[in-house]
Amino acid sequence: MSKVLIVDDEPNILMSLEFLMKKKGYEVFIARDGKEALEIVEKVVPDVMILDIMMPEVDGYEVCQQIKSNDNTRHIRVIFLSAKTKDEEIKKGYELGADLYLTKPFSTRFLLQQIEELKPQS
Amino acid sequence: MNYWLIILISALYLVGLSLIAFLADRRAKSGKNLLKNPYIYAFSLAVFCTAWTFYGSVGKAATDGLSFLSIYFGPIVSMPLWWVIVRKIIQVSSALKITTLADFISTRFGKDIRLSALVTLLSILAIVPYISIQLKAINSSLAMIAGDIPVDTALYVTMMLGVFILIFTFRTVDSTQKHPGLVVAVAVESMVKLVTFLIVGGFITFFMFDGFGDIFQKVPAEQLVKFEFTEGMEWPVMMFLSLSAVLFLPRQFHVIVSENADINHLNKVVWLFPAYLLAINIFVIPIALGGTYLLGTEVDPDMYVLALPMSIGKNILAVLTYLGGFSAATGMIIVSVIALSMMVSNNLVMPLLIKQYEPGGINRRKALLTRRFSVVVILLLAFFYFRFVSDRFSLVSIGLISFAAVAQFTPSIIAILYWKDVTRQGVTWSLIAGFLVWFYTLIVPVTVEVGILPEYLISEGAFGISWLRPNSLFGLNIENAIVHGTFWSIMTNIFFLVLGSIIKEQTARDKNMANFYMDSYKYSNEYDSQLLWKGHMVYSDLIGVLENILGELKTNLEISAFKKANGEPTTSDGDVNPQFVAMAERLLTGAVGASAARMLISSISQEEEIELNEVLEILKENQVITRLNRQLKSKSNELEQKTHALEIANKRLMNLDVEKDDFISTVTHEMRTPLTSIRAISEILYDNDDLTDEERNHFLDSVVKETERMTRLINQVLDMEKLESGKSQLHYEQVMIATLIQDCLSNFKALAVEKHVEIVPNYEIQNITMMVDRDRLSQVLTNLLSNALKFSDEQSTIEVGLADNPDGGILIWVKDHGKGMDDDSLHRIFDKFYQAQDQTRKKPKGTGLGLSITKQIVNMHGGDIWAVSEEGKGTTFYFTVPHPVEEQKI
Repeated sequence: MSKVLIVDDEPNILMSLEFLMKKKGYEVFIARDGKEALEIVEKVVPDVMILDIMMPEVDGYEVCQQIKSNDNTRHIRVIFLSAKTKDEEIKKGYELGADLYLTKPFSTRFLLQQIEELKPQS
Repeated sequence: MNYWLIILISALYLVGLSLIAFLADRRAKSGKNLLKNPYIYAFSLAVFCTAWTFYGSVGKAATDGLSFLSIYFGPIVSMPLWWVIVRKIIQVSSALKITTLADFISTRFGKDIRLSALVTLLSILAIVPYISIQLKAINSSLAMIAGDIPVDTALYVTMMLGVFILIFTFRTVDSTQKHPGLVVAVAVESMVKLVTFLIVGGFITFFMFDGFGDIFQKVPAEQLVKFEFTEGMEWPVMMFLSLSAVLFLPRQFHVIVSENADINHLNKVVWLFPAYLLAINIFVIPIALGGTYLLGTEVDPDMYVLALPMSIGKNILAVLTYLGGFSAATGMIIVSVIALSMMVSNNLVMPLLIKQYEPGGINRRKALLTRRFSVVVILLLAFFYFRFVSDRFSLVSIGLISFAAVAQFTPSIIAILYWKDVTRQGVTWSLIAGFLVWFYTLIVPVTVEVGILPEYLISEGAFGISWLRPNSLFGLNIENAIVHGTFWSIMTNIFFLVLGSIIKEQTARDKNMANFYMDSYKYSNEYDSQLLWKGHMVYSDLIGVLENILGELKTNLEISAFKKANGEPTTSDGDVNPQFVAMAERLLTGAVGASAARMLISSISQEEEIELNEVLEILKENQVITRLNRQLKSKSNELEQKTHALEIANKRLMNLDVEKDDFISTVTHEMRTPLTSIRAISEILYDNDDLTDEERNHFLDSVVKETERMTRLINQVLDMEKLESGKSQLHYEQVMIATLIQDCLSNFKALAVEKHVEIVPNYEIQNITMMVDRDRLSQVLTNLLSNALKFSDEQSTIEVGLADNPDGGILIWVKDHGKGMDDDSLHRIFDKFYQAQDQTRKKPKGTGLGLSITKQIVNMHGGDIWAVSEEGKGTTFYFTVPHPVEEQKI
């Protein structure tokens, strides 16, 4: 069973995503900021991360960079889910090694479909 | 005393003077020019006081009483005029490089050579006798002090003075170059004659007599009667004569105008010069009375000054007095000869030379030689006049006749400065007519007296016509010959000046010059553009003339200076640039005088007569250009200021632009967040039919909350915009502050109870009403309270306080006991969209605009808002509300 880590500081977004992932049968972990996210990554090494960018303490870009520069965690699929919609912001996300960049508001169906494609076929 | 001793002392005095002049010249070369000293300038003007003053005043006082003073009252009362007339003459002269009276008059009329020659001749006629009486004074005083003297003494003195002049002037050809050595020497001479006269006057008054009172007591009453003011025309005429003399005598013109280094020196002159004239006259009456009492008619009254100390054997004092008189005489001779020789060489000799030789034949050596030759000629003329004529007259009579001659220039000069329509014919006629009448009424009678002309001219009149008698022309009987002669000569003079100016037309060139003379203050710095010259000449010819007269070095310097200021001296089609010709002519004017310079330029060019409309065109153009320049300058200043203001505004706009971009991107970002939740939840509700009622309700509740959040955000953005743009105004009314706070608190009670937070009021004052906007102030309190509530821990308290503000108005605070904030947050808490971290996660976040709006409202009330925080203990927001300004006024 794939592990999904959801990182966001908006309660209602977290709630929605958590519901959707659990429904799909993923094992769901939740972090409310970047720092918490990195702590969880270290412990459970998720298969997929849904990562917000603008968060207190450590932002999403930073989290992504750390994950992708660490051999133990590089394989984690990172999906940015952000209200940052400018071209250069999206480009930056991909340059840091993200597998997907989705802008808010997003289509839940598309997200689920993409996770299906991205997660390792074990 | 020994004759040769006195001659030796005189010679030593001149050597000493030479030394002073030499040192002053050397100082000037090393940059410390004494001409820059206004006192030196003012003292040099006292060259006006000659041996006539030194010896003659006493003589005149002894015979005619107080009338000697009229000669000094003229200059004294004329001082205010110096501001107007002298200033203008100096401005015109320095702009045109004019150094003599002849040039000053002729330059106004196209540098008319006949006019400048006329002025020169008349000046010689007027001044040579005047110089000769200085020689006479030296001679008489020598005779007085040394007994019988050889006939040739005056010749020796003349030669010594000639040597002095030749050494200290005219070493360079450019006469516009000032002569600091000469001026300093003249100033020293002025001091010497003043000091010696005061010493001898003091000695006579206080040692030979017991002060002024003693003299007046001892002198017989009939002698004192003479010391009354003569009535009638004498005083005004004398004052007019001396006024003309002090300004327009060639030597005065020279020291006042040619040697002026700074026009502001006039400020010192206007009080120092009158003071000098008063000082040198203090002892005149005591000496005259004392001389009459002690010496009587045995001694010539002109020599009382010298004879009185000698009569009691005070030889050293007598020598000192002699030196004072000697300095008065030599000062006058030196400056007069220089001024006259400049006129003679420039206006009489040089034009002849130019006609004689090709222009190339005139060079510096010839120009200098001409000057030196003129010095010798004038000194010799004066000597011969003294030897054969003036020996027979008193000092004062010849002096006054000279004054009357110089006064003939006054109407023309005043007209040149203040009457646009005066013509060269008017001036020429007036000078000739004035001088003829002057000669007939003043010279002829004197000549008859000494037996040169027949007696019947006086008694019966010319051709036996009685109203042509020189002493009472047209039957006008005035006893004083000077008054009579001055009256008729000046009347005739003015008549012809007006007549000639009315019936003759000015040339275009003269009209142009008239503008320059009239409005000198306007043009003195931009004369180059005013000079008109039109014609063709070969550049190398002009350079040849310049090099010949100025020297190669000076010529090259001037050409490069011209190039720097005005560009090439030749125009593209091969002609010489008119501006360059104008400059060359001015340089030549400095060297050979205005008329000769004109002749030189004409001789190498084919000049075209300028038509009047061309002059007017150019004048108009110049005026337009000047005006445009001025406008342009002020426009460009204005533009510079505007540019600066624009830069600032632009910077502000750019900042605003960045701010606005940030604002929009933040607002849209903030909108995306609730939208994201709403869309996600909606899709969940749509796709999942199997939700429990509880789940469904929970989701729907969230959608509603997120919608409210969006609404709040939109409202606050709009509110902020209204406040910032000033669209929203405050509506002031009298509000009971404590009541207003209480109302807000009761609205909050429910929320507070829900969170188990107690709100504690703390009012230090109760009954205060203020002019505030009730709704807006409620908004402030509500914002702060909800903020406090958000950060409060459960079971804690919030304090709301009200107190007097020591600076006026009131102070309100809201204090929570939450986690507090760090300094960084404290600083940014009022920024738009800044949100303190670690907010309660369960609830939707605030918009980040609440505190910005709060601050805006407080500021609009004229108050301040700030926060104080201690981490872990809580935060307090303070804000002040002052009394509105309108209320304070009442």
